[in-house]
Amino acid sequence: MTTATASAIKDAFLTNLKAASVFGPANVSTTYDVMEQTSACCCIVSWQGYNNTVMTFGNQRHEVWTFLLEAKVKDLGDPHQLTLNTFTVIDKMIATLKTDDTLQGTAMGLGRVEANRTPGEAETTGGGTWLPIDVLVEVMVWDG
Amino acid sequence: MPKFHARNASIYVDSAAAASTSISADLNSAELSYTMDAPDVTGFGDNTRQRLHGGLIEWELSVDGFVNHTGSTTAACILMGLMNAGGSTLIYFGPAGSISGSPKYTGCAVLTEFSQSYGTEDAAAFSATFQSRSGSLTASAW
Repeated sequence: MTTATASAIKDAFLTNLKAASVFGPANVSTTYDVMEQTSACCCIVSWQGYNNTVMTFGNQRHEVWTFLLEAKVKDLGDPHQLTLNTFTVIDKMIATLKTDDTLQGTAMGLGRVEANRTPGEAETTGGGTWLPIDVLVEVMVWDG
Repeated sequence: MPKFHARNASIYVDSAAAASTSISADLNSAELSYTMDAPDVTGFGDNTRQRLHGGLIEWELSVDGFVNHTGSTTAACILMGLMNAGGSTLIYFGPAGSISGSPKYTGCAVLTEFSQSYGTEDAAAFSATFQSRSGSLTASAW
């Protein structure tokens, strides 16, 4: 039995990502205003999808939450370092997910983890230029 | 009884530990097969196939479910214990559930198969087969 709600899963992601050296406590949030105060890299945590399927005659259900972890790598004027940072960020994020795949006891486990970025794609937000990295994580829960 | 959804099916078994114990909560599939031997007696000159009626009747209940080892009253634990004790049991099967008035099938059975499967992308699951041991399958109501 797990204690999974979207809020509990969100809190677990926030805790784990804030502990990752690439982000730090101040650069992980559920809102995009974190981009205005970040000096290098930040991550925005949000839920993207949910499905719930009945599994047994006893109405035991299987839930899957899909969370989107949007990492933003800030352009600080050095294009070479900017590209290197995208490798560092994804390495650190994957390592963080691997070390706690039950998200502090909130989940049965992580299902599919998928990371995507479009090389060369950049966005301008909050007065800065950023390279976005999207990480989709399926969080599996059993209810009952 | 009108058409009904099978999502609330009930299956109870008698075991050495306790009588009439529900194993439904961990099951997600049940299939009841009820057959009768009908020996073929087709002879030369017949235009259609000929069979005898009144042959031996046999039934079989196959179930699938998820392995759950929380406590000793889960389906997987009960079925494992039943198999180790020789497999003889009494089956109570309610395809529409066990609410009063719902149809119920009761029969003496022997558990002849209990298989478990495990995979990296799947929940731990099992399948089990009960076959008729003696007497007929009785249709009644809960």
